[in-house]
Amino acid sequence: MTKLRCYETFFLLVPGLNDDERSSVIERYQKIIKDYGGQVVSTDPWPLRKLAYRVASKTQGYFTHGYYVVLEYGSTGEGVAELQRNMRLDENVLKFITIKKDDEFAPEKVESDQPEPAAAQEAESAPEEEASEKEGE
Amino acid sequence: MANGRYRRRIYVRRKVCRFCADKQMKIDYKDPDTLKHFITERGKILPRRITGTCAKHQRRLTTAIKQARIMALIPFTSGHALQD
Repeated sequence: MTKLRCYETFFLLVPGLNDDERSSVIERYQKIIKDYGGQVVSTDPWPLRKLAYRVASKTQGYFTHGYYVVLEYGSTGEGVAELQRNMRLDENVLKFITIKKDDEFAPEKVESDQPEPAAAQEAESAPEEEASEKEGE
Repeated sequence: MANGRYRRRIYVRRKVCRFCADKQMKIDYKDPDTLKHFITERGKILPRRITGTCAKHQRRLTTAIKQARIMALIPFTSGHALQD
C-alpha cells in the first residue's frame, strides 16, 4: 500500500450554489479521497466571502464573491492527482490549491485548526509543517 | 554643517520578529487578516528591514502571501483589487 501523507486542499466555489449543491460538491470530493484509500480529517466550509479581485470563470463570466472550503485529509499521491483532475474539470470550482502539510499521516496526531485560523490560539502545540508544495491556479 | 553630520543620531528601534515573539502566531495562507500586516497598500510584500521579521519567517511569509494571492484572498496589486 502506498503511503498516506497529510494534505490540505483549499478551494473556491462559485457563489451561485445553494447549501445543498455545495455540500454535494464537497461530498463528491470527499468520496474521491476515500475511493483512493485516503481519509478525510476535517472539512471546513467558509461562509460567502468577498474576493480580493475579480475571478473569471470559463463559462460564467466574472465573480466577485465565492465560497471557500478547506479540506484536510490523508491521501496517496494518486488520490491527490485524481482530486485535482476533477477540480480542474468542475465548473463550480474557480480556484484550488493543495498543500502538503506533513509527510506522515497519523489521523490521531492531527488536531485540526478547525476554529478559524485567527482564533486557533491556545490549542496547537504540534509542530506544523510549512507549506512545501504549491500548486493550483 | 560638518558638525551636523556627527550630531545626527539615528535611533533604530530594535525590531523583533513578530512570529518569534509570539509563538502562537501562525503563518497561514488562509488568514488574510494577518498577512495584510506584511504587505503594502499596493499589495507588495514588505521587506524584512521594514517589518523586522526574521529570515526564517520571512521565507514562510512570502510563500503564504503568494498562495493567498493565488486564492484571491489578498490582491496581487491594488489596481486589480475590488473596492469595498
